[in-house]
Amino acid sequence: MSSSITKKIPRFFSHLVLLFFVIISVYPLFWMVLSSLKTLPDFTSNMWGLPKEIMLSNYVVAWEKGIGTYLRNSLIIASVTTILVVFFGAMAAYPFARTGFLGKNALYFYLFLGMMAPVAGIVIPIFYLAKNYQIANNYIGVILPYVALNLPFAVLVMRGFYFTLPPDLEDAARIDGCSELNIFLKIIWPLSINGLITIAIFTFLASWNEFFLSLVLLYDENLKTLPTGLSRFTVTIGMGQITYFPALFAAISIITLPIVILFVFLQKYFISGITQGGVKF
Amino acid sequence: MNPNSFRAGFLKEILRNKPFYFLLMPTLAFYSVFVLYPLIDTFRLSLFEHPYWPDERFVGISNYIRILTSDTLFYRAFINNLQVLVLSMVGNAGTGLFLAVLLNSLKNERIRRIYLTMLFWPYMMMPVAVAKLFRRFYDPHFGLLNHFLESLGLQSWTRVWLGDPQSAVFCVWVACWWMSISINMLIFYAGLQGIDPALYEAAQIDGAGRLSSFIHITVPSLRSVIMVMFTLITIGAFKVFDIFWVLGGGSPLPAFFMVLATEQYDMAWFYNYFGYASALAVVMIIIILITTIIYLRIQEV
Repeated sequence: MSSSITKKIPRFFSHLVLLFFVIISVYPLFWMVLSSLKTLPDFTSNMWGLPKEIMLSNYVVAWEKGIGTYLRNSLIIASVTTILVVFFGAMAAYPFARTGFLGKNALYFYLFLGMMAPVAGIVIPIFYLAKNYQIANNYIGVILPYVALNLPFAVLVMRGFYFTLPPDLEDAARIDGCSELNIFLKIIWPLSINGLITIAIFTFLASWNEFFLSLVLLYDENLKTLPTGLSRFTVTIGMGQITYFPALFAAISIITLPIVILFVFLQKYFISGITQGGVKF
Repeated sequence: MNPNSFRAGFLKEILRNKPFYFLLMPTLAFYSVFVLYPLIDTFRLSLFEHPYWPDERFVGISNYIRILTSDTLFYRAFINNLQVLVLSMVGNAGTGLFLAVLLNSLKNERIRRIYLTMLFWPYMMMPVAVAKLFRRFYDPHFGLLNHFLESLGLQSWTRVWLGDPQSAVFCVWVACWWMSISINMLIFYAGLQGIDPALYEAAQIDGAGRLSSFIHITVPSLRSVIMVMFTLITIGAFKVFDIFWVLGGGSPLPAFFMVLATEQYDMAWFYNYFGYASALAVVMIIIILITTIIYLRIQEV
């Protein structure tokens, strides 16, 4: 009897604490979506309650005040970056996971160093590089450094993934006279789909969220990405004196949606990516 | 050894591995041009007053001397970074470990999964969006926080959260903490699952309690995970930029909101002191490099 109570109390305590953290994780988002549906007087006078009338037009306002443009820019930049990083990262990780070649460890260390580089430490030369080659204030000007910044992590994760593939397959192909390049293209690549999805997600998220470089490199209003566009996003009404907060919350809700969709469909890759990145550093 | 045969062997070795170098080439090219070259160039620029201008003026290490001897903003920023670092080490890692242990103690696999998924919501938001949202929470007039305190009858606790040097950094850190709950928990949770359950059974037979098996089994087994976590937290605490910049309301930030990255940004893009900003960036790189080397050394021991 007494032992069953001492076992139940900690479990009850666990649920209580975890539930508390679920509430503080979910409630701010729930509040944000509710507020995005309110009118301004409703938002200021009825801060905690449900909306008195549903103002879906807030979403239209947010979209037209720039979110539509920023979303397009962010989707283009993040998608192109992701495709390039997945392609090149998958290629580069393979030699690091297989037979020794001259300079393997030195090159790996060389790439590893870049994972620590702060954006502040590279932004000024990149700005002048982009300016000199006329790619400042241009998608290409941010995509190229994004690819470079994301490659080291992609190589790290893919290398860990290749270690889990059995080398027997490659040996068999090698005996059959298959070239190293063909082994990679015809055997390794198709087996790596799980690893490729993982690095695709994290590259997409990193370039989707990146703020510093895009703040410096994209100054044209029509080219701004979501983080930089949102950082200055305000909708005013009246004589431009009153901030219309519900439109801001609508804007944040719109831009969170793509990631939520990604998470719903690819949850297990999110989780495996974080644990791999953290545990097998 | 005959040098000629050595050279021939060297060349043969490279030719034999030609496909591998081919696979590496695009990555090395991107990385060298857009990460390594800028890092090295930042060192060079830090020795000039106005690099890239027609009269760039070589000033040697005087930018560094100014940073270390007369830049009070730098010390303020550095202390703010250190505050974020200490708060994150204790708060983020502590919360992560605590929640991971609780989650691991649940028997039902499906319930664990549900908790894990529900805790993931903040991670899906972009940091700038979190900053915008928390700016509204901390708003002195329309903010949830002051409103909440008033409804509890705690008027005396209300304040201008982000405008008050006493509370600003802490408030920013809370937003960072909120975003990272799920990741920190997940990293520790994966580490916990790697611990052999037989160790706990053996400890139980020896009469060890919950706390004692936590201290003697869990913590030592998680040693490498904790070190990785501390490394990531340290790098993150010195790199932090977007959430401070947005919560602080954009350039130029007030001194009590300054961190190293925002000072670097303001110096370069608001005041156009590119040489001085480069020197600040070099100081950041050196700080991050030193702490990482220290962690790697500790881990090797």
